[in-house]
Amino acid sequence: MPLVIDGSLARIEGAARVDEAETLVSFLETTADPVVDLGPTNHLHTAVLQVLMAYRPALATLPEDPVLLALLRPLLGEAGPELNRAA
Amino acid sequence: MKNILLVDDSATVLASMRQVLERGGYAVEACTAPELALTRLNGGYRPDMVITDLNMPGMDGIAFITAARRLPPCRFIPILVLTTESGQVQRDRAKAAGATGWLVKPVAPEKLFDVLRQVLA
Amino acid sequence: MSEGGSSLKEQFLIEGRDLVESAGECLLRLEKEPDDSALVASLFRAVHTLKGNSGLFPVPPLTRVVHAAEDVLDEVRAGNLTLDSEMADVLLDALDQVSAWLDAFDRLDHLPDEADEVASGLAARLAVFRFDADAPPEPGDSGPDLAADWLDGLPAGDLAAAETALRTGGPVVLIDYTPDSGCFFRGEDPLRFMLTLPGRVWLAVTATQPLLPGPDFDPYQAALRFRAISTASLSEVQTHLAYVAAQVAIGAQTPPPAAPSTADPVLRALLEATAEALACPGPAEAFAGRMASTATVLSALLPQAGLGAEAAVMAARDQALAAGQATALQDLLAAALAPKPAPVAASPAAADPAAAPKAAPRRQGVLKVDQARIDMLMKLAGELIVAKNGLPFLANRAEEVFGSRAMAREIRAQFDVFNRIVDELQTAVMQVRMVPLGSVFDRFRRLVRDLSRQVDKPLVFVVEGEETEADKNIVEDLGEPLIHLIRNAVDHGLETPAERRAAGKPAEGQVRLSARLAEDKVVIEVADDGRGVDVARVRAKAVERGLISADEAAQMPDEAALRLILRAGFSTAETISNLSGRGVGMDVVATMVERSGGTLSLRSQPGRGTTVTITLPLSMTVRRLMMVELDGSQYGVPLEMVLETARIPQDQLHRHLGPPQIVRRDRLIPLCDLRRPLRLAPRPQEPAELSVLIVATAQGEVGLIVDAFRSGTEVIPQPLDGPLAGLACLSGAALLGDGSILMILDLEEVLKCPW
Repeated sequence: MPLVIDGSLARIEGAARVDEAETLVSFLETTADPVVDLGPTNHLHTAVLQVLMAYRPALATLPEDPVLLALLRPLLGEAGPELNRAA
Repeated sequence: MKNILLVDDSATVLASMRQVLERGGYAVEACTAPELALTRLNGGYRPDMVITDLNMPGMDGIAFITAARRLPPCRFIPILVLTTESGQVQRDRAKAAGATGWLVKPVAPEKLFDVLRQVLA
Repeated sequence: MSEGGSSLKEQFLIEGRDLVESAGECLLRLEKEPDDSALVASLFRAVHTLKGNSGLFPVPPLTRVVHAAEDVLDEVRAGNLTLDSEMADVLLDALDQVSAWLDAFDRLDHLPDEADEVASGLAARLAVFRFDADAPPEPGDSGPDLAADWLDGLPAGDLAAAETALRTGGPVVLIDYTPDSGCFFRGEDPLRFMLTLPGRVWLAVTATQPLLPGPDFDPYQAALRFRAISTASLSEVQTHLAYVAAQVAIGAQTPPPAAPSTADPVLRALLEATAEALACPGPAEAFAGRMASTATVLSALLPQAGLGAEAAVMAARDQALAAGQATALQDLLAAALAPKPAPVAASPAAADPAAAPKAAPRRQGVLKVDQARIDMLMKLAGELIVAKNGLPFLANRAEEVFGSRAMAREIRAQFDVFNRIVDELQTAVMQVRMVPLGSVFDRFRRLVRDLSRQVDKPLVFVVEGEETEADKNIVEDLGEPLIHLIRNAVDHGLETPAERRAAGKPAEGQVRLSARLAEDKVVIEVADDGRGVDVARVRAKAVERGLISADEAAQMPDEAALRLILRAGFSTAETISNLSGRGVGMDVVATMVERSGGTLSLRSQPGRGTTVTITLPLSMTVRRLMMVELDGSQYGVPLEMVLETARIPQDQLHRHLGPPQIVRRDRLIPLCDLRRPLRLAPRPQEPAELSVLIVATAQGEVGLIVDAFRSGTEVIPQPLDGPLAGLACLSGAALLGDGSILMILDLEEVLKCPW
């Protein structure tokens, strides 16, 4: 599974699939101060992208993949204090 | 390896698609009837994608897509239908029933792989 | 098609023939019930599938014809056209042609040279039927035009980037894509479509409505809008987004440049095809011809497209011929075509068109499972039967050699268990091989229709019991005998309409083909309500032909006299018509039936008609044999031929002229000492009591003198090979449970030898 949840950290490795949107929502709904790590991500299914845009969770790292990075920065860039700290 | 489920009543089409897909590094499961395909899907087989013919005796492709989409694990699977070059009406009906896209028969290998890259994560 | 291509071709041919056949059947039924929409649908489907399949192979004329047929049938399906017999004629012609082409493709790997012309003719004949209602124009792939304000509502940063992308100078395509809310449930991933967009220079994602987190948030309701700019051509972008065309607006900022003339798709296709043909290995003796025809094609194409002069082509041809390599022509082609040609099959060979036998029954793969696997299963089940039959031998040895009756009893009990399981296994495997007789009956509808027209005898063809099943091989072997019988019925059996009226019968004759099960046999009847066989004429003819003497003819009961027509060289028709002619008579039919382990019988009533009954085993894989001993070896006689076994004292033999005879049930039966036709050593001394096996043959009952009777048995016959293969009097051999070999006698052949 590309979505790996470890305590309050969810890491998306590789390509996030459509059915992971649900898992991600429940993680974000039930976890206190959730953090999402997009470092190892190379694709997000549109549904997962939507979840991130709705919840705007704190991001540990932005994707290395330049295309995804260019797309996500304007969308999620000013997301939260976590990312700003990391950046 | 990505799994592709092929549904077509023509053994010739199944054999040729299987040949192309397997050479492209995909695992292929072929069913000669949609009813068989549904049995496989109900039995827990979970392909990454389905390619189905529309014109089949018994259950047709549209009914198959409708039925497959009702199975929770198949809600989001890309489903491609095989149509003829003039099958616009069929394409529209297939899209309405939940198909992702279509392939025009006979399917050229390059076109097939183009589409797979586009549709299959 | 490279590796695996040949099996694919085989698959195509098998399926193609099936489809042609089922299309033909649908057509014939539709002539009677033109309103049956289910029939129309299956007819359309057969033709449609055939067209799809044919596109995979280098048979464009075939594809063209089925395509034209499909177009007509599409109109029929839509209710715009009615299928009348005229249309059926043309469609049947088309199917015949397709069938002939499939055969040609099978043999030659390509279609005959004139196929193109023939295809045009057929396509034109088919096109005549089509409603020339103006087809509604296909909806275009592009969505609504893009409004001028398509950038509205974008964040400032995005706007600036878009402006930059738009000022690249070249033509760009603008895309505005708002996926509908249920798009995920069609397997669509809009972001993937956008990320893989060809020539994408800019992409922006916005939400169409505020995305509010919380329990009501549904991640599977799409609520995004994508805007993008691409430097790819409009058509490329449209092709890429074809699956979601309804959700996309596309606009071109400047018209895309016109395609250069060298990119004409037709020209390109032709050049590519030529290159492919050149790249194929061909027989050396055909090399010069191939180079010459390639040059002809190129000299027609290249100058017209402004890609080269005819002289250059001819020079390249001469160079190729001199070098014995196609390189020069290939280079020329490569220059005209940017990408290099790919190898594809299609080797020119000496054409052998015409010669496609019409309506010859073919062995077809009706089973959709690999037949070799089922055959293997059947063979193993058969071997199990043989192995099982070894247990009684073992039981006897236990008792006789080791003196243990208890052990013998246990072995026999075990044998009973094996027996039951093996029986069930055998039944199960045979079930798999069962196919309905309808698969062979159906092709006769066409035959009867054509025959009836040809001899001008209107008739009703009744088919019954098509669902009756029998072993696939038996069903296939039935095809040819049945064709002869049906031809006979139509040609000789039925009277002309005038004769029938004169006899007070309906002008329309009737031919009935029926099948039913009777225990472990399948019974097939071909019956006509025609004039019946004139037994007096049969007798006269048989005497005239020297088959029997006038005395014998006079004494012969009608039933036996009727069987005379099964003898070789007998034909009651005064003239050999072009239908059942060709010198094939009932004797051939009887032989073919017997070869499959069946029997054939005749019934006829003057003025009422003739019925030919074929009785076949449901499965011929396991044969029941009666074992007999001759000169120390064991031989098997098909049990279905055995009427009785008898011990005849020498003094009951009637010795007049010819072979000795015995009387059974008031009838004289000739005796044949089996040692003689088999050329075995004569019996050292004549026993006081002869062991006689009375069998039914095509020539009537015969008593076979053997040394001793043995038990009946079931075996799986194996065909003979090596020097024994040439012996007509042996139909095969089988391994017995005790490891010895049993020769199976073909009695009809045996009795042809002098005795």
